[in-house]
Amino acid sequence: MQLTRRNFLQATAAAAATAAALSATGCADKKANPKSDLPADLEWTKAVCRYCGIGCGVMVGTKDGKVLGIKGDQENPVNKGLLCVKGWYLHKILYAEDRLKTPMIKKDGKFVPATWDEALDLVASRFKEIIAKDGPDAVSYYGSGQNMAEEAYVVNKLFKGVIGTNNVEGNPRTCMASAVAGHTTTFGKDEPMGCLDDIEAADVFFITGSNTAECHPVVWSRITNRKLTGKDVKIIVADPRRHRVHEMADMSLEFIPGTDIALFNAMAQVIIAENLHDANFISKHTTFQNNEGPIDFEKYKAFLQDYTPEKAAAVTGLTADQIREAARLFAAKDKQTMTMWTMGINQRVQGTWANNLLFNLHLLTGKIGRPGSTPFSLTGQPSACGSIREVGALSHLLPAHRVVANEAHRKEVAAVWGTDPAKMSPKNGLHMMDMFKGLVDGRVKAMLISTTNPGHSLPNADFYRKGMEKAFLVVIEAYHPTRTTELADVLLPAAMWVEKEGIYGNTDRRTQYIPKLVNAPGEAKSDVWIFLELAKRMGFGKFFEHYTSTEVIWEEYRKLAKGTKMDLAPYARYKKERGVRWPVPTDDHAGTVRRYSYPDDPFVTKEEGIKFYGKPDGKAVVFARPFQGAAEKPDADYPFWFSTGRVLEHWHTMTMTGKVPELMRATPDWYAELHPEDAAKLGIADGDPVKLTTRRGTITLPAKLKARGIPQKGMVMVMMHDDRIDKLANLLTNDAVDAASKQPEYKLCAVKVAKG
Amino acid sequence: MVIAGIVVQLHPQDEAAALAAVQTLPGVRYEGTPTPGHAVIVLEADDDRTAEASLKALSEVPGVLGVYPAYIHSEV
Repeated sequence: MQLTRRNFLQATAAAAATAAALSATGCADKKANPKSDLPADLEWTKAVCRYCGIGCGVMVGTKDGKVLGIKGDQENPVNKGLLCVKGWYLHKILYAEDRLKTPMIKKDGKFVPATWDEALDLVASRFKEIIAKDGPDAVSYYGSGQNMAEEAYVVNKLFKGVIGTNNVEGNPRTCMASAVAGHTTTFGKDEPMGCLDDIEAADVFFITGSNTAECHPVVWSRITNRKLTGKDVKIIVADPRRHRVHEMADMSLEFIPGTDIALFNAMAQVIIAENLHDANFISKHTTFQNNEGPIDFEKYKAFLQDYTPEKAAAVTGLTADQIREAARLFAAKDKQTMTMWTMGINQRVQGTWANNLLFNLHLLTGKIGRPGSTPFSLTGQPSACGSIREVGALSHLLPAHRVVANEAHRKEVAAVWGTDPAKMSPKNGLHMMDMFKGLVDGRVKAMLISTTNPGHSLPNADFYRKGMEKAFLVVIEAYHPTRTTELADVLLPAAMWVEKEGIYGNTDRRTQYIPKLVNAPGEAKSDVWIFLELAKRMGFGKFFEHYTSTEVIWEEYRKLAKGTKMDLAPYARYKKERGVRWPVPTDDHAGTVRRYSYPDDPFVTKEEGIKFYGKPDGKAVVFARPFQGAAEKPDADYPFWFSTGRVLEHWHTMTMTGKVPELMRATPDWYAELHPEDAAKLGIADGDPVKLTTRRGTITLPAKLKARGIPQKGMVMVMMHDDRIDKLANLLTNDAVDAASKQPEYKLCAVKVAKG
Repeated sequence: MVIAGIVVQLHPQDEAAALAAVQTLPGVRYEGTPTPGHAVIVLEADDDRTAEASLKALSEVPGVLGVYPAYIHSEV
């Protein structure tokens, strides 16, 4: 029978979904992946999704210079052929009407088109003038976990190695800095030791501060599949708001906002009191510390006496029995336990400590470094790990987990960069909030921004937007207008996703390649091209002229990773393979599934078994961290908790998903989630306008009493996506930061609620 | 024209009822359940807007745990 094109597409769709279902549940015939089954009139090439930090593989179908088809990549072990609804419409982000296609310079308050020469010469000359007059620390760069690694590498070198300022920050400071600080303090090195493969081996999932079902849907599909097909698999969810994860949960811990520190300590107390800990593991692989310094196990046990289930129950609003039951399930001797978390833990003034305490639970029980047992931090952006944490594009970091404060590190980096180490500053640059505060108070005169939208995404946004408007602001973006481009002096149009090639690094250390498949619209250019042109026009061309391709840049970066136990693979391998997980100690090494444990980790011997080699003694630290609570708590004037979240269909500030009409129609209105009993007390009905006021601002939104999530009594939840200037959730949020990670507390502040 | 291959994850307790409800949605053709709890459908629509409505309806069927597109062809 001869198939029509329509029949063929139907058959292809059915075959792809069948194969994905089989592959996702581990039933696939490995030989069956069928590039040959894809419609032959499109050219199909592997790439990586543009959105969250999971790094789903996509097959991109192109024809006549346009992207026409998207398919989940069955060969990619991350998603095994599945996509979420955002992936469905992925290609549409390229064809938005408001793509920025030419450089623009603001003149008399209005943007006018300019040539690249005009725009770049203006930026270079203004930056040079400011540096000459006020010094290198008067300029700054703010990048993104959506930058490709090569982009972050080049701009990091330009600012830290050549200009001589460490004022280089990125928006991962807003989403995962507390995970960085948590990993570094506990293990001595950043980034997860476990991986996505652990999902299929876990018996107990402890999910806290993460609406995995909506924010990491493909991970959720793997968890639910494990739950439905495994034997006696349990899910514990700990969150102040009920959301879609609760639909599958066996146990729900709806603690009072901000009190999870007490909950985690109480779980540790139960684990030790009921002899559920692994004394042998603790003795061989851990040490103990409090905030003053080293302590011993007995002192740690004494510290935990402030967190007996009864005492913690009074703080958290849970019952002592709930806490005991959660601890017993977590620590069950014959079970593998995997913990996942994201913004609900990280975006807190106690975010670093919360990370430490989650690690404690795994270290006390020895549930770490073996299949199915691991703490696993989920990331929000596609390359927050690969391009920021690993490249070192934060104000205290250098490539491959080095730090600016270490003279040997500066010399090692300068030697590879071909720059003068004396030019590099030994002091940390301004952290994100301080850098933007510098724009307000005049310490920082200019900022170059790439691929992020701080005019929308900074907490206490109104205060910082004023500084952005005042300074010389240059924004590299794919779209205009955004809440940031509107504040800029110069706009530089950027190529995005498959309009340029580069490397992304996902949440489980998997480094993946994205090819250039179509041309960018108009005069848009890759960020690498823009950075190299700026360097040249500022008089630094000699340091960058050898970067003739992204591969050359990668191979130079790879030299800095060599020997750091974050070793990376040659560029050519990423072009061929579905990513490789570092460390990759030799060019042909298959990649490391789990760090710190034999036989997966090539840097750990059989005799050692497990070795946390980020610490000089090879031992991870169990921290005694006390509960302190949020920076701002409800009081008589502002009696409710305010928090922010996300929905399945949208991503961050909607610069991309907001361009997809189908996704916008799926979320036709933004709203404030209230608990029905609170609403009744205030005389608020579903749909009534609700005025929300914090010490920083006021917004009015319709009330929603039966949304996808239901906050607990005394709590209000607003999605952070809405980009209307008078509805930004971040007009309300608190810019107080965690003392160690400098990550702001987006998740908690006090709010007044009134019928609007 | 939109043609999509979709994996629909179903809760085992509601699987039969959910599957029946899924098959009543316009443009949906049930292809089979190749592995427990994972139904495969082909969704066909004249335009993105119709496909979007079906997709939303799919996700709202009681017993549907997740809707995961595996292949999308869309004439842009």
